[in-house]
Amino acid sequence: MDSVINIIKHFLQNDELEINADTRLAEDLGMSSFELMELSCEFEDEYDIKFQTDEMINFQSVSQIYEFLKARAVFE
Amino acid sequence: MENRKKTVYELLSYACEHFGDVNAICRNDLNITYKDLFEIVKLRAIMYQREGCIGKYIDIKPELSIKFLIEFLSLSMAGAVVVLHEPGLRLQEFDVPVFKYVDPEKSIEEECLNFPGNNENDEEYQNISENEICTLIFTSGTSGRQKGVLLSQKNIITDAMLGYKTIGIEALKPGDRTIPVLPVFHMFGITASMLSPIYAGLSLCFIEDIKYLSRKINIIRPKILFLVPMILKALLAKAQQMLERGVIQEQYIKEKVFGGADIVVSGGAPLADYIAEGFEKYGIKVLNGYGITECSPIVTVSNHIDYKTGAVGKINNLYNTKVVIHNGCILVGGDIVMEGYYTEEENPFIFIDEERFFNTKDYGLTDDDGNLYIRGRDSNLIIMDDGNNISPEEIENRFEKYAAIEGVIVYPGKVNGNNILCITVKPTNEIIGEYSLDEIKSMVNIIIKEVNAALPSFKMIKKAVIRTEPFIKTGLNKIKRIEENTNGQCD
Repeated sequence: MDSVINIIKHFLQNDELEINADTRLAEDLGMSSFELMELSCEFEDEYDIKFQTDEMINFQSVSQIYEFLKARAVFE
Repeated sequence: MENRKKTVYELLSYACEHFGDVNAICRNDLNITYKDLFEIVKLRAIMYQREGCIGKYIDIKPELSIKFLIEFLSLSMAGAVVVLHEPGLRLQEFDVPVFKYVDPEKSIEEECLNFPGNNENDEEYQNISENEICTLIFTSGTSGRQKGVLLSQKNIITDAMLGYKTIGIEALKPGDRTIPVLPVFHMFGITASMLSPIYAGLSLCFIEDIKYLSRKINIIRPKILFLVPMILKALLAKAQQMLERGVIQEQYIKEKVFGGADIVVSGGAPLADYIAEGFEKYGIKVLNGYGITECSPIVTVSNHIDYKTGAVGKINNLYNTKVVIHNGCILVGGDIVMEGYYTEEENPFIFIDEERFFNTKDYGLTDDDGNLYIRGRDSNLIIMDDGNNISPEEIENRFEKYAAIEGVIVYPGKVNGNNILCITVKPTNEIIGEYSLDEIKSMVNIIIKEVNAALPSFKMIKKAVIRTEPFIKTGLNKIKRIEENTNGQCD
């Protein structure tokens, strides 16, 4: 989970953000759909996977991203 | 007098002659000059002519890529009819006699892009007339079923030249960059974002997917972009979010978020004024345009110096194009107008002084300077009991600026036998996730009251429905009215 949170902080260019599993991407972090689409590129780089263009838009919380990545067995 | 180009061969030959050593196509690991592009395309065109593709319908996989562009140009130059359609469209239902299916990713070897070689078979190329059909494109069908539109070589090449000339040739120089991101099953994605740039000698810098746009834009540093309002809105929202988070200052937005681009051409759907004004604030000109597939598609586009917010450019008569307002409707005549429909349709042409005009069925008006303003589609027109005519788009556009709303559709309904205007509102997923239905209703009511306050009473929204499911949309993100349940069942 920590690595997912760090990627989001890095993407938003703010290490001070308080992010946990329950943090909501749009409501709490103010991320637009376009930014979510872009955020998927960061996960692609980190975990060598591919997202569909708008796959990320459906995620509402940090834990949903984590579960999705876990299901794709990206974590060691 | 300028030498008109009227075929794909003439366009590429011109680009090769004038911009030969300029990069026509760029990717991370690949540069193809205009000279090499001409050679590659000519070689493939000859190959397709040998295969007997002249005049035959070729179904091409509609995915934006360098190889798609090359195959589109090659097949067109060969004299084939390239069939463009949304993914998933069943061509059998339209009785298109497909001669061949081309998947550009498979049909072109990567080495072919790197080593075009010298074409020694020039004399083998069979010239194609400007009047030959070049493209059969199925429209996205916002207001009805899909129609097959037949466009000739002359139609699309004239339109590509018209687009570039109208924007203003002095605004761009050969080698300036652009990033094609629009779907290739819409003519805006073909003519405006790829063929016009070729005529201008621009470098088309391809990215793998639109989601990489922001991270690539600073590396590519485009001079001009061709986008639809949905993407413009998303980019603007992103810039505003970054400002709010304090990670960027306003004066750096143009450089850091938009890669220093000076011009964005918007088309494909109506553009809300606030979006154009938002970009203007960051020093980027948004040139709004108006088009329709049947006109290849660009009819008007704003000039980079002489433009007006809210207008879609000036009516001009470039290259035999004629735009007139007739009984409130926009009529277009000249070389950009399609040859006809492939599918059976009502005759869309009317004759004025023996001259053929295509009736766009869009309502428009002009100001004293010739600026054109779009007022909505004829087929969407709502006729109220009292005889008042209302363009739903005019009201729908007023909801564009509200960040809480993803989309709306306005339609007529009845309450106690009386004709009223209804609206279905789809809030953003963020709003749906955050608030209860009652809270959303209150929020929407406040917005409707605000919009109504600026409207005459006969145009006011009287009933609203909230929906949580997304609207069904076309590839350019326009709501498909026909597929929405807008039969007046207001809650």
